[in-house]
This record gives sequence, structure tokens and C-alpha cells, in this order.
Amino acid sequence: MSPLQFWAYLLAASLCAIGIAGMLFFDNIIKKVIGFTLLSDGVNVMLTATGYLERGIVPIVLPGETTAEFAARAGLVFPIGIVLTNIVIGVSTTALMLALTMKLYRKYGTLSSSKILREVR
Amino acid sequence: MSVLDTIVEVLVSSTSTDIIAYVLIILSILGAIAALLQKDLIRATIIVGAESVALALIFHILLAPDLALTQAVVGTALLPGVIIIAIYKTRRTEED
Repeated sequence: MSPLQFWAYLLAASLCAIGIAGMLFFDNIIKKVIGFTLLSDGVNVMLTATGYLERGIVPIVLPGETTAEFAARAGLVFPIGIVLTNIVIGVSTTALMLALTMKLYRKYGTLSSSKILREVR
Repeated sequence: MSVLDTIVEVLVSSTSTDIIAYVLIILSILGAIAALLQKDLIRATIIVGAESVALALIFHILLAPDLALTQAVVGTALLPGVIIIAIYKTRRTEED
């Protein structure tokens, strides 16, 4: 594992930890949504760092390059495909959560999750 | 003292792209912490957008330029825009 890959894994772990802490320990619902965004970013960085190669090239075949040379030097393509899907899914999930937040505010008049729970009980 | 020597050794032995990547990694961790500690929600949203720019550059260094383009558009314009619309429809500051 190259040092840059190690630091990228460390960034992914800290983003996931910060996101879970934001979802657990903050009372405001929009803060919880921001924490979910950070958690999704952490997962994206972890999957992307899996495909990194030290002194590698971007996986695009240039003219005049044989397949064997390309396969020996290029970074992995599969994690990029997964992460590209995950970014789009994360945005649409966040938009759905924000729409539900607006409905909750219209019904209960507050954004504090503990007050909403007290109202429900 | 030995920790400082180790840090200097790592910085000397790495290339300029690696040093940029380390700075961006530290910036994005600090941005994530600062976004959660803000009381003003619009300010927190803008800090999340800035953290997303650093994340896009990290994606570019990790050999995924198409992810960098997508993350730059989505994380800087689309996601803060949606969150700011939700904040204007509800309430701007945190309540106690």
C-alpha cells in the first residue's frame, strides 16, 4: 500500500466517523442530513482509493499503446463505476430526506428531533 | 523530536502531488468538523460545499478524473442548492 493510499483510507475513516457522530449526537434534522452527506463522501473516498496504483495512469487508452502496457499501468476502472453511481444515488437520497424534513416542519413547527419525538408520544 | 523528524522525512521523500494531496486531506477533515459545529445552517452548508471541492481534487489525484468532475458539479452546486432551499422553507438557526 502506497502512503497516499494509506492517507486516503484514513480520510475515509475519519469522514465516516464524523458523519456517524453528526447523525447520532446532533439534534437538528438538517445537521443529521449533513452528517449523512459526509458519511456518503467517506464511502466514496474509500472505494476510490481501492483503485489507486502508485505511478499509475488514468484508465484511458491512448493511441499507439498496446493492451498489455495499458493493463500493467492503468488504475482500476470498476470502483470508479460504482462510485459514480453512488454519488448520484446519494444526492437523490439527500433530496428525499430534505423533502421529508420540510413536511415534518410544516406539521410540527420545529426542526429539533427530540421535540418532534416528544410531540409524537 | 522523533515525530518531527519522521514528518520532515515523509515530506522530503514525497513528490509535490503527494504534498498537495496531504494538504487537501487535512483541509477536508477540518471542513467536515467545522461544518457540524456551526450554529448557522447556511454557513454550515457553504462549508460542506468547500469541503466537497477539496474532495473533488483528491478524486483527481486518486486517478479518477470523471469522478472529480461529477463531484465538483454535484457537491458544489446541486447539494448545497437543495439544502439551502430546504433551509429557506424551514428555519435558519438551530434552536435549543
